[in-house]
Formats: sequence, structure tokens, C-alpha cells
Amino acid sequence: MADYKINADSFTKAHIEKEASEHISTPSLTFTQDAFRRLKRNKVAMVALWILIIMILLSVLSIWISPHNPDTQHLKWNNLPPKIANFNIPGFNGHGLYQGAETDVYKASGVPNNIWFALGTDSLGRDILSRILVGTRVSLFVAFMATLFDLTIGILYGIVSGWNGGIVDNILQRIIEIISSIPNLVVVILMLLVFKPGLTSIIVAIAFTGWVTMARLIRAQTLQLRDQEFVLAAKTLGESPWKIALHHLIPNLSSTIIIQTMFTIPTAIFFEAFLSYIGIGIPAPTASLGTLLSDGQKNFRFLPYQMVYPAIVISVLMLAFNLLADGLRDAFDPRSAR
Amino acid sequence: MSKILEVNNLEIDFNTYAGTVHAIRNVSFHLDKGETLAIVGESGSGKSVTLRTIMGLLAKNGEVKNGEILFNGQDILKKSEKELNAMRGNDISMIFQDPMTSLDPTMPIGKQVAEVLRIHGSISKKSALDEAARVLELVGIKDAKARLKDYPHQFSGGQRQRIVIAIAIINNPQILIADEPTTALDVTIQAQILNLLKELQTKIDTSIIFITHDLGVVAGIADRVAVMYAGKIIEYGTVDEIFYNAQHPYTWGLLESMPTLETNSDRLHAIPGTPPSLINPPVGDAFAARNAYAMKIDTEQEPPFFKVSDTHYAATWLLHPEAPAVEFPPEIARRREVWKKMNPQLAGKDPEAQAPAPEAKAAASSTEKEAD
Amino acid sequence: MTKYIIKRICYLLLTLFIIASITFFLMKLMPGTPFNNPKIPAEQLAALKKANGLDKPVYVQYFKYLAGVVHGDFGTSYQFAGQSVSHLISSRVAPSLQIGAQAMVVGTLLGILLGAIAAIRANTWVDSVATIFAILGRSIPNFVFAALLQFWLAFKWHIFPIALWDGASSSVLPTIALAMAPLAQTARFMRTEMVDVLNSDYIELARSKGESEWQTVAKHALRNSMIPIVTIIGPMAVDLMVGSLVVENIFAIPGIGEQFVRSILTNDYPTIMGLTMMYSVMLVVVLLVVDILYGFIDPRIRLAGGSK
Repeated sequence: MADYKINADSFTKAHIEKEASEHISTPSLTFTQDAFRRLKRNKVAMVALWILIIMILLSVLSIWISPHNPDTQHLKWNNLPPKIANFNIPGFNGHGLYQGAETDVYKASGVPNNIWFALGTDSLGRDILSRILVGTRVSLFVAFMATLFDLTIGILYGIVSGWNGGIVDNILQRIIEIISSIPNLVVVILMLLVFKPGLTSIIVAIAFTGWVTMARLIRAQTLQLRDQEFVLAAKTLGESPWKIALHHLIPNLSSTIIIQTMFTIPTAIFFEAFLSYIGIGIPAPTASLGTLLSDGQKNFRFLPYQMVYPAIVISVLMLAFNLLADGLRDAFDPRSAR
Repeated sequence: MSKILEVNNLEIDFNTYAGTVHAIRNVSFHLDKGETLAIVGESGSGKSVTLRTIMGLLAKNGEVKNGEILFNGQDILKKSEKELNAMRGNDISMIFQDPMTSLDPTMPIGKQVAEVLRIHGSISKKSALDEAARVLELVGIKDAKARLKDYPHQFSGGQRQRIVIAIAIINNPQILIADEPTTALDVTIQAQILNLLKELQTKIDTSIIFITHDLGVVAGIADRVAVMYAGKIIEYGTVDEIFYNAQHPYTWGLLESMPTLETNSDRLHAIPGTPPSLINPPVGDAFAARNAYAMKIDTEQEPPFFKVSDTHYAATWLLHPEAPAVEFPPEIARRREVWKKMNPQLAGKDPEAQAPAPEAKAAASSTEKEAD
Repeated sequence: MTKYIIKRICYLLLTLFIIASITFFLMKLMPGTPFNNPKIPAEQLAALKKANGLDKPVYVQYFKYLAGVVHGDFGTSYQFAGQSVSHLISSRVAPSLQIGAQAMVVGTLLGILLGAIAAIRANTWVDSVATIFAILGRSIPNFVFAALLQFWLAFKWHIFPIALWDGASSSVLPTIALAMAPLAQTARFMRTEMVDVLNSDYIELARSKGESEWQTVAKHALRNSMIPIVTIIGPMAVDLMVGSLVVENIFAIPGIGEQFVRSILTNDYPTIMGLTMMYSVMLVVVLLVVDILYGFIDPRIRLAGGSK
């Protein structure tokens, strides 16, 4: 620092652009853009997202392409262990323990050499892999539909309650209080007993209990938003409440809605599996992850693969949804980010 | 006077997701025994970081790149965590900005005060609480003995700041660091707390470093003032020197934006623009972009410290002998008139003329030596 | 505080009344009764209905039912002829409560420990491992976890009994299986709370007093982060109830969860109603106790006179 180069024009007035001192150097991003940028940098969440995309694609594609027909029963070929072509991969070579000795179960059951079941067959001789693909699709469908209902009811209820305030809010909140002190499970089970078991009643039952959390969150946010300037301005300009809700409230509630949705889906997947598992869920022969687990549980001690693979699928699915949800929450709420 | 604390060439970086922030860029200052030094600057100028480093409480992503902090001749930066723990709350203690959040909400206040005694000495619970009550009375908590079992939320903001002060002074520290202790308080309470600090300083014979962004607060309490901008000290001197004979345009800006009874104008002055990003600090004088007096050299080379008097230094090229004379802003011109009346021996002399170039260079390389 | 508690108890009674009414009318809507076996002769059916009070108008049945509920009388089980529902429940409630309580205590304590360690060592590998544990605990369905535990620890390695209720060792596996959910939830919650607390001003003040890092954690951070955990005990209790249905089933434990599933599958309505009430009472009581407890351990609420 000791050497300074001083020349004639050093002490002339510098040209400093007025705007430059007020200039903000980073490009401006909307809140949502910024959140998604943060999400993209979160490796764990991105891996979870890709896993989910692949699982959803596979389960949808299996409508047209499936290794076997998931409903065809080969009663003579039941309980076959996993086998992938004729590669001799341990665990996937069609061998199993029979009376203490390892035998080629496929040969013993008289399966032609060119037929194999990648994840084995169940007690009715159905291909487990095909059933897992269908089951994943059904479970996801139930979860998505239930979540959709959840969202619609929860958002409407929350906005109406938060926007109106006063007596309406008071009554709606008391109703929520009472509903939330009935165990979810009890409500779901009672509903399933009243309605005919099936996809629709399961969806309604799950949605019926899930919307309360969403409604609470939306109400709390609406209460805050209601008193903010831009909403007051819209009100003063005479915009209709519906328009205000659509143009001003929903965009500002979007992060809450997205995050809460991502947490609701795995819960719904779990509930479906749970109900099917205890025997009041999706009726046979429709496959879902829950029914597959429940079927597999019967033979679990001796033919563990019948339960292990559906178990892996449901765990990975829930894990991926949870990780993505965590990632979204961190992206939208930087305060909670690590 | 003897120096109790000496900070030399301190440089601190913070690693953030956006990049490395050069928060403290070659800062040097000292604190004399028994004096009150005010460090003034905008938020983000690095004043809090400096003080936290003195306390050994630098955030985990902060890194001291260079420099030393000598407390009674020993480098704080070289102390072990154990030695630091023994020092904190005993030799050096700190008062925080927001009394509403700086006390543990789930612990009775008596225990929170007595805790400091029990950490730094073997004393029974009972006598620690008795001592706590005595100090709480001293800082102005009435009927302290009966309130030892009360929780923080049962006290007002001003009372809570008194409790925080009690925690800070109970071990008679040699240095008391106050981080904007009045910012979060009502104006009437501010004055009470400032008076309390002044009173306590004589009672327990301590030195105070007081940081604030409000020059108005400084006038009443400080002996000396250092002005920080963008991670550097840009001017320091006695209170009178800074208030009436400031040299750096940034200090002028601060003075102009301070409402006083003497201010004639009915509008408040504001410094235009925002402080620069410290990820890529600007070349030259960091203030140049916001400076109406900026010269070409300001955008090219960093100004050294020029000596104004034995106690007063400023880092601005305006003090260079070749720099042109400038027309001061009205408020600064008025203050300079006051300065001339206060110091009749300087009458007629231009302040710039007092700063010959050779001395300026010496000042830049070893700023600390002259101040003795 | 007393006024608040009384108000809460009134709410609780109202809630239970509504639940009792809903269950009753839902049961009336049910398609099947255990008596719709076509082989039962008409007179016998009438006699059965009469014996169970099913021949009276619905509103009479309703009031009779409500009166019974108040006295803890839920009628007679259809499934086990002649056995009263209340006796059925009371003879089975002990194992369920034991496993539930053990799982709650083990889960929350380990969760607090895991969450606290993750927060203190935030953004290091310790934190990552703890977070992975917590997320796995949240993502693996408890019946899958229970089945895996049973397969490895009981069936393969014979460390614990496979099933049934015989001595303390048979409660170990069900407890672990059930504790997973509260553990994961507490750990996650604790980590977030503690990270917040560790960044708070009063922790910095504590450090500036000269407390070591561990002293700050022990004296200030732990307590302040643990207080809000009380608020998630309610939701966790609900999860435990759900979990107990499958876990008791898998381990064949003679508890109310196992009974509930069996009653559902056999259309044993009086038992279903009785157990529904039982679960609701347990839940609302837990919620109330937690609420009051929260008021007591947080001085800010306790001393503010209990207003919420």
C-alpha cells in the first residue's frame, strides 16, 4: 500500500453514474423462480424427483407393456422364486429351498425353459412384478385422487374461513376442532364399513380425514394475506371475492399448497396400504401395494420375496415423496433450509 | 493512558453460498483503559463481527485470515476454547442489542444472573443469588430480591436490558462490549440505559466499546469514535473531532443525516445508494460510488490514513495535499465554524494544510503508533 | 387456568357426545348384521333382535345406547355370544396400553437425543446420518417394519419370541416396531427447534457468559427446544393407535387393536362402537393432558394465567 501512483488527473472529479450506486447486481427472480432454483441445487430432492418420475412412468406404461398379464393365474406354477432369463444370478436363478435342499423350482414345477418371472409368482401363480406395477399404479391413483379432493376441500374451507373471519370463521373452526379430535383411523374405518369397499370409498375416506390440516394452514395464511395492501387495494377497486381469491390469494398460497400436497401424498399411500393390509381396503383381485403386502405377509416366513419386493417399492415411493417434500419445503422456506 | 485492547490488521472472511464475503478488511484500533470507544457504521459494515471476534464468538462459517487481537498483551485469537470460556463473562463481557430475545425465556432471571458467578468461581448457590440481587439493585431493578424467581417475560424491555447489563457487569469485567444496546428500546428508556452505563463505568472502572449506527447516541457516551464502512475503519478521532471536524465524506453523510436541534433544514438528509457487496469489494475507496466528492483516484486506489491531529486520522484522498479544496455541505460547514470557535489557535488555518504527505504515508503503514 | 381447564373438559364431553352419535347412526346404516344369516328361523331372529333391543324404534335405541355409554356399557358382543363389550375391552386394554406407552417413551427419548445431536452437529455427517434415520423411520410403513423385525429377530435369529403375549420379552419387538414413528417425528421436530434455539440471542448471551458449548446445550438449549415437543405428542398418539392395529395383529397380541381389526372383519358392531369410543376417549384425554402439561412446563403460559 505504500506506493501510490498519483498523476495530473488523479484529483479530477470522477464520473459516477447515479444509477450505478442504486443498481442491484443480481438478476431479479420471482419468489417461485428462486425457490425452484434452490430446489434444483438440492441433489437429494432431484434424485427423489427422478425416482418418482421413473416409477410413475413405469407403472403407467405397464398398462400396455407388462412382462406378464397381472391377473392370469398359473395354478401349477405358484410360489415360484424370482428368475431372470437363464442368467445364474443368486437370488434370481429360480432356485429355492425344498425340504431343506436347494432345488430348481422351475424345473420341479414343469415351467418351460423360456418362461421366467423376474420377481417370482404368488400363491395363485400370478407374476409378482406385473402385479407390483399394477399395484403401484393403483396406489398412486388412490393417493393422487385423495390428495386432489383434500386440496379442493381444504383450500375452499380454509379460504372461506380465513377470508370471512368473524362468526363464520368461528363456527368453521369449531367444526374442525371436533373433527380433528376423532381419530382419523376411526373415521376412515367407519366410512369403509358404511360404503361398499372399493376404490371410490377408499379415496373418499382418505380425503375426508386429510383436508383438515390443509384447511388449517390455508386459513392461517389467508388471515395474514387478507390484511395486506395488495389485497386491500383489490378490494377497494371492487374486485369480486372470487377474483381476489383466484388472482391474489391462490398465487400467494401456492408454496404452502405445494408443500402440503407433497406431504399428503405419501400419507395417502400409507393409508391405502394400511387399510388393504388389515383387510378393509381394496377388494381382491385388484392389486395395490397394500394388498400385495398383505398377500405376501401370509407366506413371508418361507417365501420372503413375495413381501420383500412390494415392501421395497412402497418404502422407496414414500421415501422419494418425503425427500422431495423436504426439498420443496427448504426451497420455499429458506429459513428452515439447512 | 495504557492500552487494554489492541486490534491489529484484522481480516475476516465468511464463507457463504453466494461466495466468500470479505467482512473485515484490515481493521486496526485500540482501546485505552477507562475510556469509551464508539464504533459507528451502517448494518453490514462489520462492527458486530469485529466485536464478536473479540469475544471469541465468531460464527462457524467465519474465518480470521490475518491480524491479532491483543488483550493485556495476549492474543485472543490464539487462546484455546477453554481459555476463551474463562475470559468471556469474566474479563470481557457483552451486552446485546435486543433485550426481548437475549434472556432465556424458561429460566428465572436470578438464576441467569447468578450463573455467571458460578461459572467463574466456586460460590454457593445461595450467596451467588444474594450477589445477583445486589447487582440487580445496582442496575436499577427495584425489589430485586423478591423478583429473583421471576421469568424474563414478566419484565419490560428496559428492565430486561438492565438484567442483561447486570449479567455483563457482575464479574467486574475489564472491557464491556455493548452491541447497539439501546436500538431496540423506546427513546425515553434509551437515555436511562445510557446514563446507567456511564454511571457503571465509573463504579466498576471498566472500558467500554460501544457500537451503534446512531451518531446521536455516541455524543452522550463516547470519548473516541471510529467510523466503519464496508469492513474498514475510514475515520477515527475524539468525539469533538468527529462531530465538528470530520474529514471523510461518509462521516459527513452520517452527520448530515443525524437530526439535531440545531438543524435548520426541515428535511432529513440521506446518503444515496447502498453499501457495496463485500464478495467483490470495489477497487479504491469503497464509498466512491455513493460519494458526491469522488475523484478519479478514489475509483482507482485505496486511500491511506492521513493524519489530521495526533488523535484524528481519516482515510480519504481529499486530505492529499494535491487534492482540490471542496465546498462543504452546509451542515458540515456550520460544524466547522463551531470547531474554529472551540479551537481559536487553529483560526485561519485550513485543516487540510495540517496533513503533509510524508506523515500520511507513515500513518498508513502503522496507524497505531501515533495514537499513543 | 382452572377456568380454561373446565372449558376444555366441556368441549371434550361435547366431542365425545358427537362421536357417540355419529358412530351409532353410522352403525344403523350398515348393510349387514350378524343376524342376516338366512338359515336362522324367523322366530329365532325376532327373539335375537328383541334380546338385543333391535326391535324398538331407532330413537329409543339411540337413547338407550347413550345412557349405556355414560355408564360404560356398550352392549353385548355379537361375535362372542354373551360377552359384554366393556368386559371384552377391559380384559384386552392392558397389553395395548403397555406397548403404546413403552413405544411413546422410547420413541420420544431417542428422538430427542437423535434430533439434538443432529442440531448440535448441524450440516456435518452426523447430521446427515441422523436425518437419514429420521426419514427412513417416516417412510417405511410400520407393518413392513414389524414384519421385517419379526422375520429376522424372531424367526431367523430366535432373539425374541415370534408372537403372542408371554412375559416382558414379547413386548420388545412390538415396542420397537411402534416406536419407529414417534422416534422419526420427534427427531425431525427436535432438530428444527434446536437449530432455531441454538441460533437465538439467549444462547449467544449464555456463550458470552463463558459457558462451554455443552453447558449451553444442557442448561439452555435442551429445555427450550424440548418444550414445543409436547405439542406433537397428540398427533403421535394418534399414529400409535393406528400403528397398534397392525402391529398387534402381526405379533398376535391380545390387545384392543387386534380386537378392533377382528371386529371389523366380523361385523361385530357393538364392539366396533365400543372400541371407537374407547379410542376417541383416549385421544381427547391425551390432547387435553398435553395441553395442560404445556401450560405447566412453559413459564410464559403458566404465568400468563392460562389463557391460550
